[in-house]
Amino acid sequence: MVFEAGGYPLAARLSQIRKVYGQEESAPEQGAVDLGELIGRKQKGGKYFLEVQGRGEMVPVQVDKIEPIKDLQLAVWLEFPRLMRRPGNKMIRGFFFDGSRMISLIDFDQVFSARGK
Amino acid sequence: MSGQLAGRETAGSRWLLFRLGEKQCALRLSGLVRVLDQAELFLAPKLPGEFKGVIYFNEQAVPVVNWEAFGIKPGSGRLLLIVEQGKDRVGLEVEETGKVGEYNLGPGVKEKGFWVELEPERGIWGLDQDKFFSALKQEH
Repeated sequence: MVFEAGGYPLAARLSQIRKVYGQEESAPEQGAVDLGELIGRKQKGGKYFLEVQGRGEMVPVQVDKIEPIKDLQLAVWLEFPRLMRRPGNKMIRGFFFDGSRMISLIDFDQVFSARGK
Repeated sequence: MSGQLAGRETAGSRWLLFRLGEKQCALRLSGLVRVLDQAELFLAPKLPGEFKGVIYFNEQAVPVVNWEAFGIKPGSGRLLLIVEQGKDRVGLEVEETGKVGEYNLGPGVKEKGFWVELEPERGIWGLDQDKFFSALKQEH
């Protein structure tokens, strides 16, 4: 699933996402994680919520934009460069390059792990 | 330190001259993969300060170095040098490339960070790739 937070195009495995709340739906905002802030940029509204499962808990995650379900199988998978790996960016597993964008694959287990620290 | 450096060098190694901002520099040709005049830079979250972003090159995400993190004032960065060290690659934004020069580094060569002085008269400094890649792996 492809979405946007903090101005970055991001992807997450569908297996980690339980539900998507649109703008009109009332989402469980209590305890929500503002993904834009967490990845280093100010959120630009964050009108959508994803209900995400990670590390055994269900957490609402606020994002800016949701894209229609895309099949990223045609995109090229790129490993995260070793040189850029730091303890603080374990949540980025690598990138999907679809010809025009570099979409960062985010691992919510690691996001929640970083949040808990 | 200089002795160690001399031990790593082979006699008569060839270097590609390039300009980085106002600095005259050189890079060992054996580490150069490609010179690109066009590459789209993509931003990604949580990148260390040493990198500006990544480019897509040969089915790899190649990080582009943020010179400012090393106190170097870059210019327009019209060209991108893809440099390789083992399995790691990085992109270096430079202004222009020049000729290929041959330099022999002996003992007593002057070093400054990851730079070695190749030609004091012309102010040309060579990039010591071992030290440079080590610096990229560390947080600044």
